[in-house]
Amino acid sequence: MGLLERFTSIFKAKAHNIAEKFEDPEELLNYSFEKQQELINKLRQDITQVVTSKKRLEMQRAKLAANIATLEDQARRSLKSNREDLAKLALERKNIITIQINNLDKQIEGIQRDQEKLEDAERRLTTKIDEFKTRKEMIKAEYSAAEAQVKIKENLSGISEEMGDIGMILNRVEEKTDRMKAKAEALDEMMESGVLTDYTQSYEPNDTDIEKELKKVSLDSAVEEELAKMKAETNNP
Amino acid sequence: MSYENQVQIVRITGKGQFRVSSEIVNQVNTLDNEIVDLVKKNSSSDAEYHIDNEKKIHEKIEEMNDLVTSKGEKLKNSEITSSDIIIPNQDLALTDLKKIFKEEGLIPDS
Repeated sequence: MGLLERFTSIFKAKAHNIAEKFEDPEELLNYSFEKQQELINKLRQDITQVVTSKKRLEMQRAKLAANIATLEDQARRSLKSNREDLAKLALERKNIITIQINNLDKQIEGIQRDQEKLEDAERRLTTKIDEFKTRKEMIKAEYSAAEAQVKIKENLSGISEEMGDIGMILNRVEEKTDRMKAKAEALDEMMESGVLTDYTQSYEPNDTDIEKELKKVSLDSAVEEELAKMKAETNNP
Repeated sequence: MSYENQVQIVRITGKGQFRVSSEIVNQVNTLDNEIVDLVKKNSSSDAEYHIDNEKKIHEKIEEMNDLVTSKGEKLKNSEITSSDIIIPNQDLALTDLKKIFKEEGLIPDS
C-alpha cells in the first residue's frame, strides 16, 4: 500500500470517527462547535508558548553575541602584545560561541515557521466555523430533515478533516517545544556554570584568564621599560 | 469512468487544501510509488545506506509538496470540503512516516 493511500485512510478514519459519534445532527453540530472552540483555545495557548520559547532563544543568542566582541578585542590586544597563544585561545572560544549562535539561529527560524503554521491554521479553522454556522441554518431551511442530515454530514467531514490536521500540527509543535525547552535549559545551565561562555564574567568582570594574562603582559612590559630606563641611567652617569 | 481532466482536492497537512488536475495527481502517484520502494529498502541494516535513503524519502515528499503547492489552486478558507488525497507535510520526520506505515497514526484521539 502506498504512503499516500495509507496516510489518507488513517487521516480520514479519525475524521470519520468524529462525525459518526452522533446520530442527531444537532447534537453532532454542538459537539463539533465545542471541539472547534477547544482547538482554537489550545491553538492560542500553543502560539503563546511558541512565542515565549522563541524569546528565550533570542535572549540566549544576544548573550552569546555580546561575548564575541569581547573575545575579538582580547585577541587583537594579545597580538599587539606579541602573545599569539592568547590570541589563539580567544579566537577558539569565539568559534565555539559562533557555532552555538548558528544553532540557535536555526532553532529560532524553525520556531518562526511553526508559529506561522499555527496562526495560519487558526485563521483557516475560524473562517470555516463561521461558514459552517451560516451553512447549517441555510441547509436546515432548504432541505428536508433527512436530506439536511446528509448535507450537514458532508460539511462536517470537511470540518473534521481540518480539525484532524490541526490536531496533528499541535501534537508536533508540542513535542518540538518540549525538546526546545530542554535544550534551552541545558544551554542556560552551561552559560551559568561558565562552561560555554561568559568568559568575561567568570571571575571578576573583565578579568578572565585571557584578560589577566594581558594585564600581566602590559605590566611586564612596563617593568621592562623601566628597567631599561634605569639601566641606561646607571650606565651613563 | 474516465479520470481524464478530473480535478481532485489534495490536502497537505499543515498547509491546507489544493485543487489539482489529474495530471498532477498522476505525478504525485509516481512519487508515492518511489517512496514505497525507498521505505522497503530502508529496512536494510547498512547505516550509511539508511541515512542516504532517509534523505531521498524526504526529497520525494518535498517534491510532492512543491508540485501540489505550485501547480494546484489553493482553496479559500471558507470552502468546506473533504479531500481526495492527503499528503504529509515535508516537515514530517521519518520516524513519523514509519508510524504511518505501521498504521499507528499521527493524529491524536479526540
